[in-house]
Amino acid sequence: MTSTVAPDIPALFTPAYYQDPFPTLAWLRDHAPVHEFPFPVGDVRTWMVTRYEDVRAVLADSRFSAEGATWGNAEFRAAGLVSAAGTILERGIAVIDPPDHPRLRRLAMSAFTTRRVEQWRGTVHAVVERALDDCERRGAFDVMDDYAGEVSAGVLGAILGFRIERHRELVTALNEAFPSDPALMDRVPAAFGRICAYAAELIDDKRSRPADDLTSALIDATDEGTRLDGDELTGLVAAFIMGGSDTVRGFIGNAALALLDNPGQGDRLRAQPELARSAVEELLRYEGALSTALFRVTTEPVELAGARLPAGAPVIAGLLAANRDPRRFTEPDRLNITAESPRHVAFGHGLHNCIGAALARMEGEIAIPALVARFPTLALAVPRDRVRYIENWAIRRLTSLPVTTSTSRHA
Amino acid sequence: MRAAVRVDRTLCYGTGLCEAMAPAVFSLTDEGYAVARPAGDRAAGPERLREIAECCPAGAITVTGPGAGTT
Repeated sequence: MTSTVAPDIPALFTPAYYQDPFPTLAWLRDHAPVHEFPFPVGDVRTWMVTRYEDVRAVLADSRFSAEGATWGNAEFRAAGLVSAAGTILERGIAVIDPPDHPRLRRLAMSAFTTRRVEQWRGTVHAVVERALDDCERRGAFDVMDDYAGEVSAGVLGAILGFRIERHRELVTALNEAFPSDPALMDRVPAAFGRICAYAAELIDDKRSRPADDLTSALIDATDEGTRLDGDELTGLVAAFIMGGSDTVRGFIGNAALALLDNPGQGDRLRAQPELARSAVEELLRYEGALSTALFRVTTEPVELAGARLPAGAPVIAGLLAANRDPRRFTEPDRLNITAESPRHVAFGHGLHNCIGAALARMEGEIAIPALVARFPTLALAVPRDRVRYIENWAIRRLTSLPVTTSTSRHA
Repeated sequence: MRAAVRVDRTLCYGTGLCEAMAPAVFSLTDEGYAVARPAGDRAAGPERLREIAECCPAGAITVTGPGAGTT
């Protein structure tokens, strides 16, 4: 079995890969676009897909199922790679296919259409301004914890109606729910359990004290006979918590770093805030919060770009790899916030594309220009090589991003 | 009479959700945006079309005609 790529290039999902995955992804796109390798957890035979066209094809093809519990081979299931196995999230919206998927997706989508998320614009502005005021008082701050984390938790909390002090516990649970270190696999079930327990607690709370928030609205919709049972409702709220907190935090951090690395682009956005929309699309393409989609498994033997996959094979669609594919994008490694690029796959593609994309875009379009506008002299507070990424195969985000705002005022 | 389905190109994000749900009804163009296939609406009933329209993240799909209501 192939376990490495070229000798001088980090293998997938190794510490060196997490800090700079791009040489590995470029090599794979060129030499092994459907790359078989042993997944670090359980050494399970897995296929990594890195070209844009192939990634989109996998995510649009029902023979690549999101239902690992149903279609995954014995090796995959035995290694504990079925997402949220043993919890109600094993049948959650992200990991079920038709016929059950549309029923959940339809109800969930009703909350997150572009038109619906407009009602939260004022909330996002308020949360962003409050976080910026706090950062300005600090003078030096961590973009991840003090800004991106405050914005994502603040917005999600306001929308779902939860208490903000619970956010850090949830972030810890999220990190433990998606580990890349085999030694930490034993914490996964408990982490999913905690996320579900919190969602159930939130629903109980809103049942007794309904408020003007999304959780209360979903309870009403469920009670009005949408054929959603109690576990499905809890699973949906848990999915929103998982999908909407660390991802938005990760993206705002990645975007801030991209603009610090490309100061001309940051200056341009500061001078022309009307570029917010195209800037966010480009920043999502350049470095979104997800390196990959969740596992797909083949429902039958499939041939993909010349590779033969057996039934039950785990497949990873490389979203970051696809978004940097020169076969699809011109100069993909260059950030250009005015580019009219083809559609990226930072939110995935097909049946399971991100349900909260419209909200995430709005948060990005408000929070990112506001950060560069408030702090024209924003600069890294640590040497560039001290900026590190978390070691997680699916989520791409920084551990921290320490910055200074103005050496003269806060020295 | 049957329901008619239309995709608003100015709203579509190209998420591919409609194509994944009903490849006989919708396809993506080379630019990555969804279009209803010619006569594709014969391939699904009004309730199914309405379901897909309600799953669309951009609200870009409109279903009109008998038994469909208007979404």
